[in-house]
Amino acid sequence: MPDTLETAASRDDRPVVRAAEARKLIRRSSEWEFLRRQIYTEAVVLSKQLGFDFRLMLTQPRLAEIAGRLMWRMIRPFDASVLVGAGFGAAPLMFAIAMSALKEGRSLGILMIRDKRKEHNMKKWVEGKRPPSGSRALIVDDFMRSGTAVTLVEQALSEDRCELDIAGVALFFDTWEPLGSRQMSVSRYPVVSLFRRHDIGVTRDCFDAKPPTMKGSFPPFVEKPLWWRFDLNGKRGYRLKCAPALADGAVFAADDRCNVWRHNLNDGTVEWKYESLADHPKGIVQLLQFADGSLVFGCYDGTVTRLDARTGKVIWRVRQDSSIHATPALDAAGGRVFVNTEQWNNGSPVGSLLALDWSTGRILWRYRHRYWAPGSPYYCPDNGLVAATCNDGTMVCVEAASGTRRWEFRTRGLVRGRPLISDGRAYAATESGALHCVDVSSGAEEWTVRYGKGLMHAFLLAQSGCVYVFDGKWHLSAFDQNSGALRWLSRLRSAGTWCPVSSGRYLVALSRGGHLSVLDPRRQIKVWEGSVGGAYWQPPAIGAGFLAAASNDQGLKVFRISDFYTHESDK
Amino acid sequence: MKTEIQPACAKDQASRPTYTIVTQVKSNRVVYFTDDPDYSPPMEEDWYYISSYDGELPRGMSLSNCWRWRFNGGGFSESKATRHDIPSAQRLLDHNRKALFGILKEKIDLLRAKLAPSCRMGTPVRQEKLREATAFLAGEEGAAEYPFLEAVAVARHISLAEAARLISAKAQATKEVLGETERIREQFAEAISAAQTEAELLAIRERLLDEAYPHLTGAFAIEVDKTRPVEPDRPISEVHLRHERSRLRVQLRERINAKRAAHVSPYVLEEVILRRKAALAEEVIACNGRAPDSRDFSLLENYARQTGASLLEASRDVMAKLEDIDRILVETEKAKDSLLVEIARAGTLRDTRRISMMIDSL
Repeated sequence: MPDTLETAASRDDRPVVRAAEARKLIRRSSEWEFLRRQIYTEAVVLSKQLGFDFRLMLTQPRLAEIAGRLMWRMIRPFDASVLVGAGFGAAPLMFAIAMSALKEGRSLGILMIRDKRKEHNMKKWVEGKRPPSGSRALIVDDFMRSGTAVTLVEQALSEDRCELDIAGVALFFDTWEPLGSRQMSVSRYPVVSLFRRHDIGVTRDCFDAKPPTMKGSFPPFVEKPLWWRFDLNGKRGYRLKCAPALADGAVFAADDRCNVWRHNLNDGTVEWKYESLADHPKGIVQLLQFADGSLVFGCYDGTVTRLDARTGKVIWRVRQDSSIHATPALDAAGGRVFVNTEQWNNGSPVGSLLALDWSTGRILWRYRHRYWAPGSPYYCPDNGLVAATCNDGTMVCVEAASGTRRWEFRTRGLVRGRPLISDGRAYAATESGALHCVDVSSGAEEWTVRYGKGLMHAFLLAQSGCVYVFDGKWHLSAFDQNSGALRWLSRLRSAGTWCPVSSGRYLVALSRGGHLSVLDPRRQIKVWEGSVGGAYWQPPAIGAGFLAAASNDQGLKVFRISDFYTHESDK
Repeated sequence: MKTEIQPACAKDQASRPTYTIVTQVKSNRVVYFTDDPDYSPPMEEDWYYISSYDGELPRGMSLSNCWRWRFNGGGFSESKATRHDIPSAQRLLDHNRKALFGILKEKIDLLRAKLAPSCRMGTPVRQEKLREATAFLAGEEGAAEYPFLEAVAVARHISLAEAARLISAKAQATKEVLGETERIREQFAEAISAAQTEAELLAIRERLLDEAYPHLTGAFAIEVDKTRPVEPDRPISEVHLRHERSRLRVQLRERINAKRAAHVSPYVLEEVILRRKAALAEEVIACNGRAPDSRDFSLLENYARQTGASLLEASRDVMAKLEDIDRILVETEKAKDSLLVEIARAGTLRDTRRISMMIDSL
């Protein structure tokens, strides 16, 4: 029969157990938290894969000194007299640990392992003053993925006939790989680490998940659907579909046959259906916009339509160009709608940013792009500006009143999602993985950072000094609006859909595989994780205590959000 | 020394190894295994189960890949192979193989689309029409009713017999095209499936463009992604260039053949006859329209008589026809030579588009 081993820490005085106890205390210290934050800015490398380089961090004396002190507190129970490690990451860490030990009167020997035997002079593989044979030692490293450094250390010690009693492996950061430190910890040596990847949000489970169910202490955000319409989208040719909207006691959803539906929020009853004039293969790909008792949206048949939300009757419908991918931006106070439109133009595509009159749909001005413009514009009422992107690799900022161009910025890659203007800056996330920040008054670049593997349809969200972006892999990253520094991140089970959605004090991320993550930006943690079932390429809608999700293959689902989260939000 | 003989089953039992299997509690995935009877983990935590297992381990499972298997306490199951398990070179081959199947399918579909019924349930309707036509032609005029045959005959103002022959002929033509296209499809599908290298696939691609219904090849230009502004002067990749050169060569050949075909007679040895007529015509023209007595001019005289022209006019007509053929041959040959050089030199999208237009304008 399988058996779960229970930790009997209180009764167990083995070094590994005492080290784990010490780590628990260390994790409560401000210095540990300080180092944890430094990992985001100094060690995380965002490219197509999430990577790490702790040498950048541990070659800074102040950070190395703190790391050494905390590591020493953690490994002290092993009572080792020698530290042994390989590479440029281990070397500064071993010295920092030894310096901390020295302050307590403990002199630790250090052995440094070359990546291969030196080919001249004394041809050593192991460098450092040889300790007495059989000395108790710890293998130290800054980072472990597959554990090859441990094998290298063992081989070098063996070939240089340096006999040590290896008591364990001490790591600064452990990626906790199944066949790396996890296997090592149950087969060869105890492995202790100051940080595990979970400490910086790189885990699919919520922050306090416990085996075997991997559930945490937070109640489910949603459970069974309140109602479920089994069919909505069916076309497979184009994966992006329309995100629903929750307003006016209803759920509004558009399907990929260009129909718009109003469902009763409480029971799903169909209250009306609007049929577009054409059934374009790509349908309606929008964040449906509700304002003034009406619904406005663009359709791939080229039309922008404003419907009476109560009746589904057309208030106005215009078609200026051949197709619209972009979600319109509303200026309800100014009575304007801004939308990017596209025209095939006999194989020489062009795009336009249009301003339409909110009452009539009449065109107020047109700004001509140089190419397709599928990206959604963003209107900022604070400074009366509209930011819009074009597939020629530009982001433009125009005056909302006139369409006069203020500036143009060249992006590193396409932006077919939506840029953002917040606190005097414009942001855009490109499909090549670049996150740009531009001064909104001048168009001058303030900073550009890599946010990871590029996402095809990234919409941005700014909140509490951070700009949030999904990458094309499975991360949600929060960047400091001022500096572009990575503040925190969270790992999803698959790539996120467009952008996270605010739900009171929480952020909700729906990933393509139908997993829902609820994150607390203040604590910078994932508090709950579950599945709503189905495949999704578009975000959910959240409002009035409900969540609506339009799936590519499992229809439209509406859930009631747990009171725990809505009451929390009210506080 | 006394040796006890164990029963076979007991012996099997004794020889079976006993393993300790360490699995992740959350997923049942295997983290570690060992047959060391003294094994105990150096760390004790709550994330793993330790189970014992009597029997053979799954084939291929090692300490460096055991995470691929799950152990539920009683047996192993292998997790679905991930994309990363497929080598990148194999993925490229698979991708290119799929592309070739795409071209093959598109060509076959283009040919068959013209023969496909235009309305729903067209296939059984055609079968019924053919059945009626066959019965009618077999002499069963009075034996049955022929509603489909009558419909064809009435709509076309033809007799039932003519309608039956029309249906029968169309069915035969369809069968021939289906047979021919299926033969080609089978051949290429087999070759594409059997190809094991990139070079083999490239060679098949060229054959697919060159040999399988080359008149359709012009439609298979590289699809240009217009998501971003197109850069026509950017060099095309070597693989695409090879495709484009093959396509353009086939396009050129088809175009030149089409131009020359207009002057090719369906009669065997017609060109020999024309040359003979021309030789006679030259002499007639040289003698101001009179046929010299030296040889037999009856071939030319007969032509003049049948067309109602004088011998001189008929001679000029023959010479004009020959000159026309020569002119077309020279023109197309010059164009062929220069365009083949252009195709060999092409390196960008602008080049291939320009050459394609030049071929079309021949």
